[in-house]
Amino acid sequence: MSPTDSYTRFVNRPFGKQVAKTIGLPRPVPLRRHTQGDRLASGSILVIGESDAGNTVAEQLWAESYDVRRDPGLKQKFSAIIVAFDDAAHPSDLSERVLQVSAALRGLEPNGRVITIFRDPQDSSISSDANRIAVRHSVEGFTRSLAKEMRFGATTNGIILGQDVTMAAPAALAALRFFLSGRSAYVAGQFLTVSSSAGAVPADWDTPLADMVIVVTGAARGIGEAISETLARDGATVIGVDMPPAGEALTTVMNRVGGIAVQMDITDENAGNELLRMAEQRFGRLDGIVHNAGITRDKLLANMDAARWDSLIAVNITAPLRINEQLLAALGQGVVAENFRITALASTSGIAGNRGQTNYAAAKAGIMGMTQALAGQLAKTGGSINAVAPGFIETAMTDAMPAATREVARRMNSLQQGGRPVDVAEAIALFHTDAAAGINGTTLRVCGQSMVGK
Amino acid sequence: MTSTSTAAIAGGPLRPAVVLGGNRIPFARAHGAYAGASNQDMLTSALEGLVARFGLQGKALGEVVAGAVMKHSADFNLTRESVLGTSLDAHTPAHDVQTACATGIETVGGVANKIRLGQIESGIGGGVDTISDAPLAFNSEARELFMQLNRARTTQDKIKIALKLRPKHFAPLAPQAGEVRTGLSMGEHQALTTHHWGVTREEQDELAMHSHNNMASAYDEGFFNDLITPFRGLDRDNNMRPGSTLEALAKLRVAFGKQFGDEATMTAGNSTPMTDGAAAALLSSEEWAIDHNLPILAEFMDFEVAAVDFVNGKEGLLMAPTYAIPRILDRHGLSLDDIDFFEIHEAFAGTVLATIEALGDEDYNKNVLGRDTVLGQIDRSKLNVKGSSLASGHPFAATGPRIVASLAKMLHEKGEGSLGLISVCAAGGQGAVALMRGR
Amino acid sequence: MVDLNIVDSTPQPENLQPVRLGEIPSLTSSYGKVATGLLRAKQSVASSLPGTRWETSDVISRRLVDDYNALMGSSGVVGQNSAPSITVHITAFGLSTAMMAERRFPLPLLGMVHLQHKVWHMSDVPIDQPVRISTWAQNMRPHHAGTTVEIWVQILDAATEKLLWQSMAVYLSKSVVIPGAKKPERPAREPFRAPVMTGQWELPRDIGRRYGAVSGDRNPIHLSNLSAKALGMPSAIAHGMYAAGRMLAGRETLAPYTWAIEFASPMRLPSKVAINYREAGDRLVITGWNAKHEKLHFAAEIRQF
Repeated sequence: MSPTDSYTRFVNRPFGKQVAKTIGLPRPVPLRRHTQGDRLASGSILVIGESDAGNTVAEQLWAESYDVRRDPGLKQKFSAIIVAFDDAAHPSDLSERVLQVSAALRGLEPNGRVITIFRDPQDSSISSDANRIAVRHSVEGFTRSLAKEMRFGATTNGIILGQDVTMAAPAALAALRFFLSGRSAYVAGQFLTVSSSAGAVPADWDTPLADMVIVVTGAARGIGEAISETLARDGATVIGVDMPPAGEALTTVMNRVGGIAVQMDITDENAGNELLRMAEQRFGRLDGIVHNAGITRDKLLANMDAARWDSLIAVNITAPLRINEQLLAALGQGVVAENFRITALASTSGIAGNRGQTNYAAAKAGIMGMTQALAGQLAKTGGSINAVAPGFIETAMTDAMPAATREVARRMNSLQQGGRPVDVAEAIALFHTDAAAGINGTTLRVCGQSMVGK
Repeated sequence: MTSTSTAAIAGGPLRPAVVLGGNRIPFARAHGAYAGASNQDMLTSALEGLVARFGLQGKALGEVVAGAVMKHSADFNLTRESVLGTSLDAHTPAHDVQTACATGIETVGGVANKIRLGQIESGIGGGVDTISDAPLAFNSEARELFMQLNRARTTQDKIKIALKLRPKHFAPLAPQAGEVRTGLSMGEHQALTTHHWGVTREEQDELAMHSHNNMASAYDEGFFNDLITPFRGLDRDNNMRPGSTLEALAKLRVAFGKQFGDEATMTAGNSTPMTDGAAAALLSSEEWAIDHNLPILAEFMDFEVAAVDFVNGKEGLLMAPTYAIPRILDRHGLSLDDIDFFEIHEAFAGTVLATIEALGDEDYNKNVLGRDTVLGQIDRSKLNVKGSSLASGHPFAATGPRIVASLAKMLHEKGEGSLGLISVCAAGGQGAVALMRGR
Repeated sequence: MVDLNIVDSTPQPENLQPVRLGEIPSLTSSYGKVATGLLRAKQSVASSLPGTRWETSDVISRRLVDDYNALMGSSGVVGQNSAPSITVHITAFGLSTAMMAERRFPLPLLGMVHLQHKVWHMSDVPIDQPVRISTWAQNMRPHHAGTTVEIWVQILDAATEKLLWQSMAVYLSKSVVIPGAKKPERPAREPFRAPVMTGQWELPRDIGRRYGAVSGDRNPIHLSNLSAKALGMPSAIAHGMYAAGRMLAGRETLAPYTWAIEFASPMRLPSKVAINYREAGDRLVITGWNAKHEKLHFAAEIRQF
């Protein structure tokens, strides 16, 4: 996995830049990524829309000493443009604010952010109001399209406020911060739906996972390794799980993040209980689990055999289901936290389907189903469950792809480059914070707005 | 530290030393998977696995004690150098120990004693050995010339001496394969003992078969998941042959004791091969374990060493444990019947069987051990139930910690108060045994 | 088991004419004399022994003891300041050899076969302290293969004249007969049956040269195949006293003790020698043989008092 792929390096040098510009090649830039202590924005933030949400955002950012502007002005440079549509009642209401965005857009700095805020089109309180439903869908469409017009690492994403949820909700603020920061580097054209006002803002936004104990399966390498590092960076103690043969790599990762290494086959009948026992003995608590472990056994269905199908289903969906069952059975008994948070790795294959991956897509779609299904149960005690669907992430696995295929896959998204494991990890980390409790049962794509799927 | 009562060494009461767990790298047949790995590489890796398993990153332990039998002179501070390469706090002291194959029992025992005395709260006892990277020495003539060269003052003198060097001076001496005072290999020594006790080929092959198959089952049931961390692409002991059969073992040719002709019984199948590997066990006081929320698997009760007079052929080289076992049992008022698990290191199948024979032999008990009563029989169903060195291989100093960690887990699973006895024979006619109790 | 057949003899130095030497002649000069002696007509009959006793003063040097211990891979005798048996022998060997190389000595040094050696340690022999060395020949006797002679050495404390150590070597000269003496029958010996091997010596190709360097005994039959063949041997062979030293290595205690060795066949270089140690009462019996050919090399014993 290269820090930045060679094409991206090429087009960011003077000569390459000129070549790309002249013949109209994609011009990906190195994405802004988060490091501890980074501010949400380095320059001005334009907040458009004198609505409840717009005002709340402006006040919040103002309180944190950001250079907040409410007007595009002339030839201004902006790190971010936030546009609130929460009060829109009819598609014709969009025009004024959209045009302000338009006016400001040329001043958006590389790696800048556009964030739309609007209310949930599926809100049952407006179920018969076609005008409102229409305008909320309109913002969704607007956001997706604008995301595709972004250049130089900038992204557009949306925050959807659920019924009775205001922008002051902890999860709404958490979503805002996530989208503004480098944590969302590879998230583009996506939405975070805040369905409740549950949760609490952390004492320190740099360590929102302080004191938490979180299990990460498949922690030895790739995305699991990045998740372990990111959770630990944000204050969590990681129980890293991987297959015994991956133990050497797992050891290295756990010693780096100060976690503990557990060599275990997660398909064991008792894996969940064993993790529970270990968490109880070692830490007396368990705050969350990341179902990251997964395998691929690609074959066209015509060539699929039982071994390929069954082993994949066992690891990728049966194990997470069974482990959840065992952990949730202990909910409220002292070790498994009331506000227990589950995250799982879905996949764009699970959303859009992928030739040769009937088994993988079945399991990953199952993960998204599991996420929706358990959301209600977990919400009752303050918990949550969410999934993250990565697109093309640069790992040892993608390094092994044929170069041409890899190059095409890498560019087939709005950011014109592959993501990094840490980009997935940042999304996972967000869902484990108490602040994000109000985001529940969702699947967030970390794909640079891949052209594959919705 | 955490203990509030007066340390035993300062007049307070002795306290238990407990085993919290262990870690080893898979053992590899010599000149194979670990051919490029040094003792320090392997020991560091075993320690790192232990650190990761127990979350000891950045923690300062009371002491790490380990050793290697085959050691380069540059590795004089092997254990400390290894500790400095781990994620442990650099304030963790370390020292090396060497008592041949009993090294690993001595390192664990030494740590346990310091804990019991209140000198330290926690520690690691370990061991490592490599045959693949064994030190090679220059022959004496060459050594003499190099020494002269070193002492020479003038360039002229140096040239004069250097000119005396011939190709033959650069032919290294192989590491000593046999006992220094007899010139016999360990296998030939055991062959004398095996023959003396009339241990049959069939009995030895059967023991070897059980060792391989017991260890293979233990792997399959995940017993080693929290005892082993893979190293250099190996996740199981590569000497182990699951599905070993008596038929296959019976086909092997005699390797040791050829002087006994038809009565020779020892083969490569019922003898342990040369092996590379490392192992470590984590021990502490009960208070430290509780403070750190770490599991207490077993108590390391005691250990005992012994030696035999083998030089003139009077006694079997590897029979020292037959002295140490009754002594340690007597000290604790125990008999063989009280023991739930016997871990008798399988240097050779014949060693285990001769030890068992001797302990149950009236004449040996009376005239050699000086006992009024026969110590007794060892229930084979309690012997090496998770396999032993014939299957795993035997990187000399690593064998003790391997057994201590495995036995601690077995005793913990068996239940509080269960008892385990370890017996390890060693070169030089020595041996070490240890007693552990389940928690 | 092999029984020792050591000559039963007592030292008789009394009526011999002392020959006092200021220092021990080097072995090289003695062998040189022998080499020139080769040119003289071969004697085939032995007259009588010269009736002299050769004496000198010397020390068993620390240097020799260190070199010897290094060669044997042994830390020598228990107690720091007493000399290993073979270093005493080495120190005196030059004197004995000079005596035997002398013209009046009736048996030719060259081709002499070392049959037996016995050593009595009455007291510990100190290192780096002057001792008086006395050597003589006695009891020239007919043997079924020629003529034997006993070469005795005594080591006395230079100050007190106390006898510390003595040795008797029996040599055979195959080329010489005693006029008028009846040649005895070859004694019947049971065929050798190998005991259990409890030890094994690897004798490397260069061990003759290495022992030669330590002891000064650079008899060509020990140095290389070429030099040995020049003297009619099939190959280089180990020094008998090297074998004795190996047998004693790590087993020498404080005096008093005795040891004896009887050589049956030479140990070729390089080779492996099978060894059996057996304790029998106050004796430690040692047998060395060639396991491949079931051929006895030596039988020996160490006896403690």
